[in-house]
Amino acid sequence: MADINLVTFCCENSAFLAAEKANMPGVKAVKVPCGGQIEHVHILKAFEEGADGVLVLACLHENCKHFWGNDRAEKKVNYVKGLLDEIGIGSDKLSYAPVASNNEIKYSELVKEMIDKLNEKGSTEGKVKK
Amino acid sequence: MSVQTKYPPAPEEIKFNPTVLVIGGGASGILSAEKAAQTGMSVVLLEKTAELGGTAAQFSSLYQSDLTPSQWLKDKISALEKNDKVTIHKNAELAKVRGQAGSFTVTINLAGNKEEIEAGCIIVATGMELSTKMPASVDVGAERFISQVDFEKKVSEFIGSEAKTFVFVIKEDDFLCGTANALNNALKLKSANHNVYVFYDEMKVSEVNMEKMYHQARQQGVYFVRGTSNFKIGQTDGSLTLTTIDPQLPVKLAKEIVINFDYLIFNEELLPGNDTEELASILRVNIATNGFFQEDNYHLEPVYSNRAGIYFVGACRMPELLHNIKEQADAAVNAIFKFSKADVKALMDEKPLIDVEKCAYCLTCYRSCPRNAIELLYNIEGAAWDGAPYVHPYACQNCGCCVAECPNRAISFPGYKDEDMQKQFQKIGGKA
Amino acid sequence: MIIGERKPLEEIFDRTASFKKILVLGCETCVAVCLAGGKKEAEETASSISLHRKEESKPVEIKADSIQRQCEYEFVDEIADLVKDYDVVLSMACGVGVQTLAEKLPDKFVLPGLNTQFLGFPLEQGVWMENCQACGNCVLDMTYGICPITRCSKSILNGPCGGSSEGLCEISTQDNEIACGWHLIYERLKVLGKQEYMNEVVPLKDWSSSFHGGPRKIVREDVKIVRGE
Repeated sequence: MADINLVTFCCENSAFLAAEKANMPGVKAVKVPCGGQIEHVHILKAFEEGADGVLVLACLHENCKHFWGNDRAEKKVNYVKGLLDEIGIGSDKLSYAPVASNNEIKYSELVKEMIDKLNEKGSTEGKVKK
Repeated sequence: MSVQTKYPPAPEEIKFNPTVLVIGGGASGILSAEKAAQTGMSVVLLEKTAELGGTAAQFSSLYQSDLTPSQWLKDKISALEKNDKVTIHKNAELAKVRGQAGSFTVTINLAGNKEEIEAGCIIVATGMELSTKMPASVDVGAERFISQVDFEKKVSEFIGSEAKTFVFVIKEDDFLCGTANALNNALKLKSANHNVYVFYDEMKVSEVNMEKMYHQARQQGVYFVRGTSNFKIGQTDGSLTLTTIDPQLPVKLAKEIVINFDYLIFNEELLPGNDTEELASILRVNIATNGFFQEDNYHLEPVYSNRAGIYFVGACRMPELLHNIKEQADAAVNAIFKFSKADVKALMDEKPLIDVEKCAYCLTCYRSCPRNAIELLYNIEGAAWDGAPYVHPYACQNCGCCVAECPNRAISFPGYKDEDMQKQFQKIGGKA
Repeated sequence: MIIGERKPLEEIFDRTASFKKILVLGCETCVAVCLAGGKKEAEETASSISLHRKEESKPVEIKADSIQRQCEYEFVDEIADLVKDYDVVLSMACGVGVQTLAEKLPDKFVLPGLNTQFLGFPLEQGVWMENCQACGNCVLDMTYGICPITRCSKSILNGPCGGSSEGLCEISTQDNEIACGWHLIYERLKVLGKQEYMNEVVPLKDWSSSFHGGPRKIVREDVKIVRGE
């Protein structure tokens, strides 16, 4: 099985701290100042650059320091999932989840979940060759 | 900012005006004004009615203090009036607020005339409303059902009189004030050998000395019964009765308790001021789900609002005891003072910058900023039209929402530009 | 302003399937403001096409760019050189922009990436509503500010029809409630104290000034610039 490469967009107020602690191989954690700063193109570019899966992780609901950053991130993830279905990549390669800064266990569980899902699907036709 | 000629403005043009506007002349406003004047800033105090004092003027005692509110207020108000750094406007209301932290332009309504003042920061101290709602419907003897504020005025009448039965009902006391008052008065009455019952929902005693008062009251024989919603008030032979079942006893043992009482004292409902919504829309700050103002972070930043430069002190955010309000007023003024010393140039280097030449003036960034930190500038050189949005360095808190929402990608965020983000996962899949 | 919506990606993929080099061109004015075809959406669409082609193993050379307004020849000129490197321009502008491109670049394939919807305004961020039909003979003076041509589903001019009920038009459904335009007009006239207007009979509308009279053109001789004289 080819190595799976994941990109996780992590809010620096919560998930990024968990990501640093968890420090998982094959996972690139990208720091953002708030879930609200993530754009559709960032996620699409991550797939273009060869990521097998993308996770967007932000603060727990109603806990965003900037009030609605995490909700906006969730809405954007849902929109991009629609795009990914139309593109043919499939919306389950992308997911959104809230992660608290002290919960590196949840972070690693989410990453493992995505990796298992991707392994199940196997190599898809036309996937970026490693 | 006054007349701007260039975009973005030079750091020297971003000024901090060392004037604090305090809205509300009650205890919170007075404490804030006093502290702000102490740090050397000038203060403008607005009071809606004709007298300073607010809700505290209605009370008869202060928590854990020998002074009465009217004594305390008299001293503070006369000191404030003599203070040459403080300008007090009575019968004044807030009409409009423009600009951002450091340079708010405020329009006030002074008895029909509009006046404009410049202020660096705003402290909102508009207080609360009291509503006297009886805990149960009552047909007769209405004068025996007294609210806490009214009872406080009379409590000394009962010291030394013949023994009577008093029932305190503390319903839904989220803010501790009702419980503090009830315990205080219960102790006073019990020491004068009356019978005292206290009905409560939750015994919240997280305040200095409250737990001691509770234990003392129990020791002295005050009856505490949990549950304020299952009692019936009736009348037998000319005296008032209260019938209830103690919910903490097992059902089999529980039997009705019937209390013949002389007076029932209930706590007032503490409600947000009735112009809170209007103020919130003028100041563009958030309101919490309970109708009071919403602080930025309850644990870490309780006096901050979602907008930089606007602070909440006192009951307008959450009704509190006076010594806590003093701390809040100090905290707000300290925050303002720290703010005044911020390095504008350093701030400007780390905040998002709107490329006004790419801007379509769609107002999406203006609407999506959770801090309402974007200002629309007029008379700008280098911008196509008036109303150019500008991310104010004092007000922005670096969340990046505007950067993401801009449909023309006209906002660049140092450190989080596309190239910075993409560099991090470039070629992550090996040879792409 | 002009409000549009990006075409469904499936349609875009279909139409661009036969091209190897695609330029996705956004427009930075109306369609950017309604979050449908600005630079951001152009980049998203380009990314989506690129990913889709990877899935199908049909490589594509694709770039996203945008110009201030696609309905001005001078702005189109700016990218005339860039366009030479591509087989097709997928324009994210409204129909006006797509056609201006086609006129200025007659030997290039130009495809629309957006469905132009209507003339409207934002009720709130994310919600846009139609309120002008460009009928060519504005009747807003009669109703003091609410357009009966647009807000009334039948575009009638003399008050509500029998289908107006509880302020809603008879074609409302539970999911899509449409206010009766004439109900709104009456309420507004009430506020202004001009209800007696409702008693005036308005004659038939001359539709020749609208699109029904054929494609329209305006010529102002006084403003035309004649060079060399």
